[in-house]
Amino acid sequence: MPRASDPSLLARLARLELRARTAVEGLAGGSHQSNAFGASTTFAQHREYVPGDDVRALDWKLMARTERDIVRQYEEETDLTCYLVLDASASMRFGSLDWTKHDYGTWVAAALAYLLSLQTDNFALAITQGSEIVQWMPPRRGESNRVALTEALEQTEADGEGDPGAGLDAAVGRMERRGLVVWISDCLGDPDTAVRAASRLRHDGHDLITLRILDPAEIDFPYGRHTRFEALEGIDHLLLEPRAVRDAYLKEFEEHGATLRRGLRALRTDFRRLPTHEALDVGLNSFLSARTARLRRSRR
Amino acid sequence: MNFLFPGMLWALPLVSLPVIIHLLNRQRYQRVEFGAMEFLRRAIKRTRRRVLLEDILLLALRTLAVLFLILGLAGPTLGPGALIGSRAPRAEVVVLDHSMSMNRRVEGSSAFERARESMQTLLEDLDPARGDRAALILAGTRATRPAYGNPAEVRLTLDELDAAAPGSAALAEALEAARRTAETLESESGLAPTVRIYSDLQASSWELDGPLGEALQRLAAEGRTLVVHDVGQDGANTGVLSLELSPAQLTAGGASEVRAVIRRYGPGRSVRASLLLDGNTVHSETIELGYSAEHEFQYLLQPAQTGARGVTLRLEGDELTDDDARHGILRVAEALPTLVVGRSAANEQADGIFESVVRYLDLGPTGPLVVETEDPSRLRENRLDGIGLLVLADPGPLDANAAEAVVQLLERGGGLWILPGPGTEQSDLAPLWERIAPETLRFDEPIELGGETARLAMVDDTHPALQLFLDPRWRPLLTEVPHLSFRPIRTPADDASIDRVLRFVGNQDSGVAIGDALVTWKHEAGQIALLSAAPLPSWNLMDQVPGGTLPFLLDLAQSLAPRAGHPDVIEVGQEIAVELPGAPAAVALLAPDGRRSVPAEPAEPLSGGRTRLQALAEVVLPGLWTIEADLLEADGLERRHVERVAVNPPAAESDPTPADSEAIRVALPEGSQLIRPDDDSDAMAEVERGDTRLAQWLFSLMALCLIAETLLATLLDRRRG
Repeated sequence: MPRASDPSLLARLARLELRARTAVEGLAGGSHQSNAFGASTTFAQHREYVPGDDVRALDWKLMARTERDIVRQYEEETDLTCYLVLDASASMRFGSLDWTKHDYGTWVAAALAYLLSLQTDNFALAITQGSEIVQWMPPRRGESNRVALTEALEQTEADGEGDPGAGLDAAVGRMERRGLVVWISDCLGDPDTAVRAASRLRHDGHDLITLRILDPAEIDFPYGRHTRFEALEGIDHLLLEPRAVRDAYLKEFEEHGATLRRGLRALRTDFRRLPTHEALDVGLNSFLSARTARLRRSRR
Repeated sequence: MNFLFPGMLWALPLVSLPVIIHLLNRQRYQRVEFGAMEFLRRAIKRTRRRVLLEDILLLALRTLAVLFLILGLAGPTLGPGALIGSRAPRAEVVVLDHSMSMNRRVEGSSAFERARESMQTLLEDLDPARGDRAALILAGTRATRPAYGNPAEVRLTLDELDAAAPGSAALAEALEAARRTAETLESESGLAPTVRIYSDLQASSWELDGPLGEALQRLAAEGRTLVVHDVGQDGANTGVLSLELSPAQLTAGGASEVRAVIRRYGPGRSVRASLLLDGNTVHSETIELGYSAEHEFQYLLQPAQTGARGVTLRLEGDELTDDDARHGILRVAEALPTLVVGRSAANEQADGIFESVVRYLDLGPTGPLVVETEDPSRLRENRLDGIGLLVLADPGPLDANAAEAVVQLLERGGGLWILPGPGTEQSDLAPLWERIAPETLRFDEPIELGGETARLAMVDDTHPALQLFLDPRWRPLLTEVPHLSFRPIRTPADDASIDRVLRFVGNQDSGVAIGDALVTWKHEAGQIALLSAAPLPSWNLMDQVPGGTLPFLLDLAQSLAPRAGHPDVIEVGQEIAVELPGAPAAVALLAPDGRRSVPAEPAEPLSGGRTRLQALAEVVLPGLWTIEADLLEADGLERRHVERVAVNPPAAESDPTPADSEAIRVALPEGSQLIRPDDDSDAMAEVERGDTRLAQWLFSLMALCLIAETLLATLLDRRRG
């Protein structure tokens, strides 16, 4: 039986909202561990447990009476702003499976929005194509914001040329409140541009999680027959015998990924590679860990 | 470099096949929209030179493999010491079995045609401009060398040959000619020729225990390379192996029995046989022939017209048509003019030898003989004009003039029958005896038998005069006829010139051989018979056996009749030569196919005014040949004289049984080769020879290329994942 966050299952679901919910609820039985702890004394509300919540916040007495997982929530824990920056440039249109990197990216973004909504956080959305921001939704809280964000994601198509790092950099300029930035992109651009944007983010006091969406074909380059590779960005094409260049391609690809990873981690930001054939857990868990760490720092 | 199959070189453009396939593959690609193009560009930049090198290496290996395959199949050959692209000149002496069996067709082609095709392929490979030399030797009834030197001329000569001659194969003679030709070629050009024999290896031609084996050994002793190309194929045949006419010479109104042997080789079949007299069918019948069975054909022929009549037994066509007809000549003469010379009996109450003989032989106007009588004293040359047979019946003493007249008769081809009887001694015949009789031949004093029963025994039962006694009903005449007397004839047993026909074995009870009773011999063109027994005249009117010994005496008289001085029936390859009774003013030779020619050689004079004419030195066409000669008569007029000669193929050539190839292989000189028809082809078998042939090397190189290509491709596949 597929897991709830399995992309093959999500691909079969019709609406993005449903996909997001399914992905998040799939985490309920997950093994993630939250390091958040509630230091506040001002009780705000009870609500149902969602993945990412501190298990120590569970109200055991109430749970015993209601047979439901209820957590106690304090006022300080709701004061988080999260920026979801989705790269929707043309290279995200690539997909060797039944879904593209862009599809996968929108699922991740929608799932995160759903999660943020449940945790009553503020969340914003920036959709970039190259260096251009094609959609900006300022940070807001609540279900209505999530619905609007989900609709925006559904209407987005991957297009346009340019370096996604520049798109991230452009989004930084729109971020007025410090918070957690989740950059969802294939990062197929100049690593230095991406690192410069990340550096600016860090300088402005943001935390950054980079979720690099990659198709398995980009990772393994499994092509055997003579192939004409046509660029998704621009009109370029290459006719070649793939097996002859596979080793060199993979080397180039790994070197690029390693450079990017080194640069971003040097800035103490999180970097995760999300192959589109794998479950969304990795991305969501990375987000939850970063959110908890952010909350912890803000309480100190 | 030369090629056994130059036609294969047309496939050389196929060497571009790997490149074409490569280019076509480049046209057949899948399309992929890809995002990470920058990495691909960098990867290509990094690997371009190595990939190009690998692709070129793979293409080169594939192209070379195809090239080596095509060159290998084309059968390249190099002369000794030759380099690629410029082989040394070479010499070939090709011997073609030109015998009748080579014309036997199997599955639409004859061994001759297969041999010619194979030889042409060989000769096409020779270039006179390069110094190649060749010679063609035909092994027909005798060996001939119709072409020598220029390979192109040899090819032209070969092209002009339509079929093998319907004769035998003088293979030993041909190999000897090949040996001499190879010597000549080698001394002229410095090249060591290869001797090749193209033959169907028919068993009757390949008798290795004789001259053929010796010829092979001589070639071996000279170190010649010998290649025997077997172009024969298993198959069947039907042929007329023999045709006999008995008698072959008769007088008008007589009959001759035609006896022929028809032989089937292989699976049985029915065959239609037709007997023709001078080209007109007189009898036809269908004969069922079993598996490899013989059939004896018999028919009694009664020709009405006189002259040399052509008799043909013809079968419907089969695998080999040359032996489907066999021919003979039946000589039908007018009644034989006979002169009986002798002395009448002293006692007129009792017949003597002379009277008896006249009565026996003279059967009136319808008899086979026209009998006249004459006194011995009047026996002169002019008295024998127009006489075909002279009978000396107890003639008594003969003088020199009479002897001269008899000799003249014999020189003209006339017959002489001597019956000494009891009254003529050998000394009485001395003037004649000295001129016509072998020195060792004599007849003794008569032995009085007093009416005792004599016993005669046949010595040569094939003699035409004895055909009567082959019938058991007439045989008692040999043993139970009382005789007046008997003169034993003494002949040395080792004298081959005398044919001993009958011998006297004494009285009924003794069984002791006393001497010969009937001998014959030949003098000049005439036949002579000496009969010494003298049966009681009364017994020749015997009631017990109708006719008495009359048929025997008539047969003997006719066997002495003038005969053609030449053979009526010959084999293909022999000469056509006839004896004419006079000098020809004009001669024409008519071939069986109707072509007319004039013999080149003049007629040679013989004794008695006769002449000998060689009409054709070597006859190659079987059938009935006619010689028309206009002879000059004494009165200055010309008289047309017609002779006919039957030409037949050798019977042994009809037998398609092949020789034991293993025995031939063993008999061949060391280093020689026997190429069988079941080999892929002659030329492919040639390719298999390792000395001057490159095909094996090319196939090996092709295999190496394929192995290298496979290894490289596997390596690249593994490296490229």
